[in-house]
Amino acid sequence: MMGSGKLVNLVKYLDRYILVLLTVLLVAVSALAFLTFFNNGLGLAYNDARSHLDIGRRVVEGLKPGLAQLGSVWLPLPHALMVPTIWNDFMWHSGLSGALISMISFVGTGLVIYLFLKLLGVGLLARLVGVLVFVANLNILYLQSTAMTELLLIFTMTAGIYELVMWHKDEKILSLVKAAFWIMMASLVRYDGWFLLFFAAILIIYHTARKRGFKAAEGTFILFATLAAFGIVLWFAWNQLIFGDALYFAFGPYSARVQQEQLAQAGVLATKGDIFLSAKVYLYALLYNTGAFTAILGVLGMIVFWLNKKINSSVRIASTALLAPFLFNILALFLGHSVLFIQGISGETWFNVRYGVMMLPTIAIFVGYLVHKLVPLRSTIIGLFLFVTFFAFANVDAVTIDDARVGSSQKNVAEVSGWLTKHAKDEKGFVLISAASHDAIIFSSGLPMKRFIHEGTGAYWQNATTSPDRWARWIVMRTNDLGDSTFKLTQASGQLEKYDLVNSYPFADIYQLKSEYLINLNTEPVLGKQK
Amino acid sequence: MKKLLFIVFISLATFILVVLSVKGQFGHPVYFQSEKDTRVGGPFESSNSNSRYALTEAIVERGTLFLDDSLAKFSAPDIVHHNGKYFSIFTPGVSFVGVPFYALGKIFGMPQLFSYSMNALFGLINMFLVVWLARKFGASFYASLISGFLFLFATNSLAYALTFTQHQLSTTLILLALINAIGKRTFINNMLIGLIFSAGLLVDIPNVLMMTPIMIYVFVKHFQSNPEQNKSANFPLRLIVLSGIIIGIVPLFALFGWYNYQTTSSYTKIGQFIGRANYPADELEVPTPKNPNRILLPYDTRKQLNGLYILLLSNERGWLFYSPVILVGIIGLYIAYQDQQKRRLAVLSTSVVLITIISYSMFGDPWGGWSFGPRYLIPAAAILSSAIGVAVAKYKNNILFVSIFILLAAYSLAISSVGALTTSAIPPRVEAVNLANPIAYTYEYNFQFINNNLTSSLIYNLYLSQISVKTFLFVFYIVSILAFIVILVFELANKKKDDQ
Repeated sequence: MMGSGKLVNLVKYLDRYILVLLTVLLVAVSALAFLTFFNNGLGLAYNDARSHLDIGRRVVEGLKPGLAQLGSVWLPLPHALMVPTIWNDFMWHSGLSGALISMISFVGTGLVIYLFLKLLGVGLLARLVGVLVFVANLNILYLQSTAMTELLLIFTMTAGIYELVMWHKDEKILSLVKAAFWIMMASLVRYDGWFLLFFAAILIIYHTARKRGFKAAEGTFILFATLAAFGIVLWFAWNQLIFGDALYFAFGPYSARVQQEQLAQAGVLATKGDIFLSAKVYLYALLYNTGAFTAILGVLGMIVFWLNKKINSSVRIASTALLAPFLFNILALFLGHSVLFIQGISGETWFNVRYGVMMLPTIAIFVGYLVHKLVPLRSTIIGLFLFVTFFAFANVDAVTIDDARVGSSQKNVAEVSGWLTKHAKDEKGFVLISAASHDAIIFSSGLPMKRFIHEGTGAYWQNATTSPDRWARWIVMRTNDLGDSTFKLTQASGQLEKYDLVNSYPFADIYQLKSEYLINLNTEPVLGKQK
Repeated sequence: MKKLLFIVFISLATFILVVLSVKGQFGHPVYFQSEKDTRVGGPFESSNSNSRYALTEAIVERGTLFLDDSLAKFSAPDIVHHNGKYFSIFTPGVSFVGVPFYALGKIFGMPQLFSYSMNALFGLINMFLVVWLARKFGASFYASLISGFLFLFATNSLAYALTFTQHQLSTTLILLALINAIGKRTFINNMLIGLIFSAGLLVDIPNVLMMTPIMIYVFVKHFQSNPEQNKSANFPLRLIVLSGIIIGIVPLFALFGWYNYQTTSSYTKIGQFIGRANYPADELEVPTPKNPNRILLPYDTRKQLNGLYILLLSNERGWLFYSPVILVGIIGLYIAYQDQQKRRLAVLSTSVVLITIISYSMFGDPWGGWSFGPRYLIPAAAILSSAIGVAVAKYKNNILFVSIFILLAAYSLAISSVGALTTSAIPPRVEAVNLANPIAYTYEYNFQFINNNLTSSLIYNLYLSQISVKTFLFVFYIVSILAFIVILVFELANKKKDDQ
């Protein structure tokens, strides 16, 4: 066996260059995973992924391009980050524009987990095990290959918590500023970030008040919140500016609240008001995403960590922020702000089960810590983890893929979009369609965004919904569904009789303007640049 | 002298309890010897026993590895139909070991009784192997006996010592492998462990997985420097010693290959890869994969959450409900882990326990079909039982610990007793509730037997039927708990700290 001296030298060498090596490895894994899911078509299976890409595309291309297309409800950062690349048709339709952000976040999170464990005094092997737990997870590898927002959120939140713990350890202002920066970024990705901001603020106030009194705590909090809450303030201002209502994202017609109300009326929001069911559902989501065995190891690691009095108590308290995603998701389910279906508990389908993956960095960090502490059991833990992971991969056990393929997060709109590709591609004329309801069709049709008149096209939308026969050669909508704004408005116009129902599909019907009315049809973007 | 008397008393109590629990009915002189009656509560109530027994019978009676129509019907659905012939789906180890027992029993007109006594014998051997392992963990003499006694009588080990399944033999081999592994690495020891490993495969395929931590440990041990001599043995010598493992493995591997060739016409294809058949063989029960080149994996991580629940916590099969005293062994392992001298054994034992639990949690059928308790975890129960003695030796002066321990042991002994005296064929919940006449899916089913004055005990059915089954169970239970209390009292009174 290698002499102990040589082993020490190897460890020192690795320690010096490990971040570079790790980055290269993570990039390679990320690229490989993307190529795999790109080739098998799963990269664009999520309905939401197609929507995210369309939102980014609408900023740069369409009948009314501009930053206003970032819209409301969904926070803007993921779409804003796509802007530099999504103008390219390949980057848009391959999903790479969105996936690239996820991939960079994947690499970043792996590195943060490594640094986090280093901050906790964990040895090299255990740090690498922590990273491995994160990387060798099919759900993570899949999501990082898509234009979904989970990886960006995970990265920004984990980075924020890392800096927060760092600040609790060294109390350097720069760490606090960095924590504020990353939490601000997280608050512009998803509302989970807002909860983390609140949680972090409490930790900061508590820590400073305990050490230096309330006056110092107040000042530190203001310093932190000025940057950390900037994104939230901007978001309120944005909603006020663009939609005339600072709370448009919360109460507007396309808000999650409205969606949840519809679900509640349909009787499928069982978690609302039931804390135990909310906890159970989220726990199942967590276990299915991370793996039961890995989760148990993580919990054991957590217990060992928090009971270890040799670790600075401030660091132990700060690390409770790693539980923020867990608490937020249960709270959101309990309040009815979130919906999550687990097959077998909430019926026979999956929906939003990917929310459970948010706890994976936490689990990874604590598994790494466990491996660090239980030296004699290291081989056992690592061996068993590899054994279980092998079968996870061999069985392609990924609930996020199941949700994308057969769950409620997928929409097979191929029939509708295929019809549009075949009949509208080489013809002139606009397609009137609700982006809020049918973004997946817009994406999958392959047609340029400027062919579509939707809610965000301003005067085009107003004109087309009152006089569709003058603007829309085709109308795509769910007939008799008042939730589809295209149907709701065009029905009132009384002009639908000028259209033939050319096809009826599960997700939408397609109407085509009768040939005798084509002469009055506008087929060019004549309304020019709109404000 | 005191110890000798004590050993005689415990051995007698153990023997009596085991004999009382042997399954059988009144016949000429004993039923089931030529009658293939698959009634619940009988020795042939479960097809996994029947299939193995059928192979033993075929070997002795007809000198063949194949089952004729009557034996195939008797063993279905645990049979394979291949090239027009039927054979057992299981690996042949249990059946092969049963051959001399069957042959001897045939002389006395009781082949079934003698064959099944094989597992009872291994159950007793395992009890003493657990005692031995507990001593290796540093438990005192009496505490070790508690370990062994509780393993046999407070877990589902006793219930399965009365069947013709693989569990007792597998446990024996795993315990022997553990004890061998902590010994010195000599050529002979390596040969022995190789033999044990290959025997494990012959008895049941998952044994290979359960012994993997042991084999890895043995392998790595050859390359660790010897701290006593402060130098390593030279490399070529280590390789020669290591080769003992290969030499030990070869004979039984060859036997297995020969068996496969005889049954499937391939040295490497085993019956389980072909799939189950019914009798008559009109359909396969194992779904044919759409892609014939895709291997059907035995483990599925998606099932792990449910599997862990079923095996550890559920009222259907969980340790928590069937033998919670086992969990005291976790404390014992932790204590052993704290001791530098015992740490390696504790780590190795923990590895074997964990791989058993984790692998079976991912298995498609953690219930083990119609069974009593978590039968797949019997080897893990043996290891944890051995650690119970460590915990008892350490905390015997703690009143709270002793009180809780007695309660857990009393409960576990009760459940194990009722299981051993009635049936091991409890259906999983999903099957039980969907039967035309739904039945209980927990040990409640066993208690229903008792309430209906039914027992599987041969001795009761032959000689004691004038008393009620409840009384019989009560006496059985009192004997087992008395034996346990006597051992415990001796341990509590034992003032020697390290009674090696």
